[in-house]
Amino acid sequence: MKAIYQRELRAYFKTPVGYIFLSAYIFFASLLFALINLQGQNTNMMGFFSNVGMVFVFVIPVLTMRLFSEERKSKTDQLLLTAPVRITDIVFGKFLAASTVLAIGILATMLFVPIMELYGTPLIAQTVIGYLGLFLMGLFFVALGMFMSSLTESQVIAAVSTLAIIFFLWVFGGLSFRFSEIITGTFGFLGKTLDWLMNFISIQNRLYDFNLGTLNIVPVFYFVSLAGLFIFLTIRVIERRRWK
Amino acid sequence: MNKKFRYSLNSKAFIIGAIIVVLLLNAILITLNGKIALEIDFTEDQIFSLTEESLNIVDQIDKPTEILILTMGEDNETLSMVRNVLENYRQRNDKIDIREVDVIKNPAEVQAYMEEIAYLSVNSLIIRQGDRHETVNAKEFFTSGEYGQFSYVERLTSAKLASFVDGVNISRIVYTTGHGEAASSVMTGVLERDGYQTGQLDILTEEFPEDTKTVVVINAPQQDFATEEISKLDKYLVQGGNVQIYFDPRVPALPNLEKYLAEDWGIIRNNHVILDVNNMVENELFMVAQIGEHDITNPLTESQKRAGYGPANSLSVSPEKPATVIIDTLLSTQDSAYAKESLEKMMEQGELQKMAGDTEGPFDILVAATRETGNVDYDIFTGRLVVSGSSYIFNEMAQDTRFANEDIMLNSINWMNGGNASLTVRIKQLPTGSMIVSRGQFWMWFAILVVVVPLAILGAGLTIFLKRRYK
Repeated sequence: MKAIYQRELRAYFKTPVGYIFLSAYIFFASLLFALINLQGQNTNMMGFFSNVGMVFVFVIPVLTMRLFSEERKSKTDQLLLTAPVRITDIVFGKFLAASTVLAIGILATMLFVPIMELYGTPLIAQTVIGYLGLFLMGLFFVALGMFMSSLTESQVIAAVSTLAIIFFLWVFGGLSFRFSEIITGTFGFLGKTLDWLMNFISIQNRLYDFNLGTLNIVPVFYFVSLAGLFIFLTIRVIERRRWK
Repeated sequence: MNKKFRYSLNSKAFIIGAIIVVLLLNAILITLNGKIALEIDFTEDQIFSLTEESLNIVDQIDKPTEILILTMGEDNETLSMVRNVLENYRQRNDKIDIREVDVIKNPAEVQAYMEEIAYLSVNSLIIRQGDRHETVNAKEFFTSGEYGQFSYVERLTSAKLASFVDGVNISRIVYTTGHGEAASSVMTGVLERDGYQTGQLDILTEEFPEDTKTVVVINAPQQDFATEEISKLDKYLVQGGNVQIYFDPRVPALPNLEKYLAEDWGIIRNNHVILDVNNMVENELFMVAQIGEHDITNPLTESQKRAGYGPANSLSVSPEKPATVIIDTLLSTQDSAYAKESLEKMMEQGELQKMAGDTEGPFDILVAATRETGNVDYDIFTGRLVVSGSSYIFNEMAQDTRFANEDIMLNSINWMNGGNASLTVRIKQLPTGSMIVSRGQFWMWFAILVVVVPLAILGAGLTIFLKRRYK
C-alpha cells in the first residue's frame, strides 16, 4: 500500500492536478476568509466554514477524477490488477494519497488562525472543530469521487458525475427541509421514510454541528461511514474487474 | 457459468448488505442522539449545554410538555442554534418533546395561538403542557452590542419552563409611585421578557397587595415617604411580604424611610458618595464590586461573573439591629474604594480621585435581610428586604452585559419568591471574537492570500509540468 500511496502522491505533484486543486482551494478559501473574517473584523469562523464547504463541491472532483479513470484509459490498470498487490491496498493507497493532498490544502488554510492571532483572539477549540468537520466531509467526497472514477475511463465523466452528485447532496439540505411536511403529510409512512432519507443525505445538516463548534458523534460517524462505504464499493468494482 | 453467477450474486448481496448496515447504524445513532447527549460542546461559553440552573428546572418537569419551534420552511444557522440548545432539554427529560412546525404549510397546528403568533418572529417557541401554554419570542434570543453578542435562548426557555413546574410561581413585581421614583424601562423590559408581570402601586391611595409573593420595588425615590405609607410598608413586611429599596445617591436624605430601615431592620444608609477610580471599568463611573456569599449571589460566583455598581451610598448595620433580623451582604466595594462627604462636595472639588478627608473603604452597597415575625396564632412570617445603596445597580447597569447585575436582580426576586434563586439562568456570550484589522492590513493579507499564494502554487505546478514536458 505504501508504494501505491507514494506513487499516487508523487503523481499529484508531477502533473498539474495537485497544483490546480491547491491553488483553487486556497484562492476561494482565502477570499472567503478575507471577506468574512478580516473585513468583518471577527475571529469567529462559523461563516467561513458554512461557505467553504461549497468550494469543496467544485474542487474535489478535480482531485479524484484521475484516480482510476486515467489508469484505465492508459491501460496501466492491467499492470496494477495483475501485480501481486491486494486490491484493498490499491484502493486505500489511492484514497490516502488524495486525502493527503486534501489535508495539505486544509492545513494551508489553517494558517488563518495565526493571522487572526495577530489582530485579535481566535476561538481555537471552535475553529479546530470546524476544520475537523471540513476534513471529514472532504474524506467522504474523496471516497465518492474515487468510486465514480472507478466506474469510467473518462476523467471528464468522472469529474462531472462526482460534481453532480456532491452538488445534489449539498442542495438537498434545503430541499429536505422545504418539502418535509408535504412528503410526510402526503405519503404517510413511506413519506416519513423518504423524509428521513432526504434528511440523512443532506450534507449541510451534518456540517452545521461542526460549524457551531460542537463535536457530535452523529455527523462524525455519518462522514466516516459514508467514506467507508464508497471505499468498499470501489474495492468491489475493482475486484469485479480483476475477476473478469 | 455457475461460479460466475454465484460470485455475482454474492457480490450484490454483499453490497446491499453494506449499504443497509451503514444506513442502519446511522439511523440508530440519529435516534440515540434525540435521547442521550452524544456531543461535546467546544464553544467558549458552552452555549449548547445547559447550566445547572436549567437542569434543575428541567428535572422538575413531570408532565408531558411540548416545545414547538415556529419555522417558515427555511433552515438556517439561527434555527440550528436554537435546535441545538433545545435538544438538551429533550435529552435530559423524556417528558419534554421538541417539534418544528412550519406555520405557512401547517397553520392548523398553531391555529389556537394565531393571535399571539402575529407578534412572534420566525423560530419563536410555544411551550405547551396540557391546556396551558407560554410563548418565547425569537426576537429576544440574541442581543449584540459593543461588548459582544449574547444568547438568551436557554435563559428564556428555562424561565418559561419553570412556570410549568409545580410549586413555582413566577413573581409579580410592582413599582411604587408618588415619590418621584425612577421609571426604569430597562428593568421592566428585563423582567417582562423573563416572564414576570409588572405593575405600579401608589402606596398613599392603594393598599399593598394581599399576595405577599408580590415584590414591591421602591426605585430611587426622590421624596420621602409619609408616616402612613411607612406603616403600610411595615404591615406588608410583617405579613411576610417582599420589598426592594434602591437609593439614589444624588438624593440627600429621606428621613422617614431611613429611620424605619434603621430602627426596624437595623440597616443604616450613609449619605456619602462612594467612588473607586482604581476599579472603574473602561473609564466610566461603573466600578467592579466584590460579591458576597448568599443564595442570591452564589450562582454568580460559580460562573465567575463580576458585578458592578455606580456612585453609591454605603449601607451599614446598626448596633441596635433587632435580633429577629438577619442581614447578609450581597455586594461590597473593593478595599480601594473611598467615600466623598457628599455629591455636592465632590462636584465642588471637581476631583474623582481619593483626597484627604475621604472615608476609606470597603463599604457594603447591596444587602439582603430577612425578619421573622409572629402573630397571636403563633404563625411565623418571614419578610424579605433587599436594599441597594446605588440605584445604578439595577437601572443604568441592569442590562450592561459586562456585569451580572441583571442576574442579581432576577435572583433576588426569585429568592424572595420562596428562596429559589437558582431559577435564573445566566445569559451566554456568543463566540464572536473581535479583531482589529486596518484597511492597509486587510489589503496586504488580501494580496498575499488571494493573489500571491494561489499564483505561486499555480506557477510552481506550471513550471514542473513544462519541465517534464520538454525534458
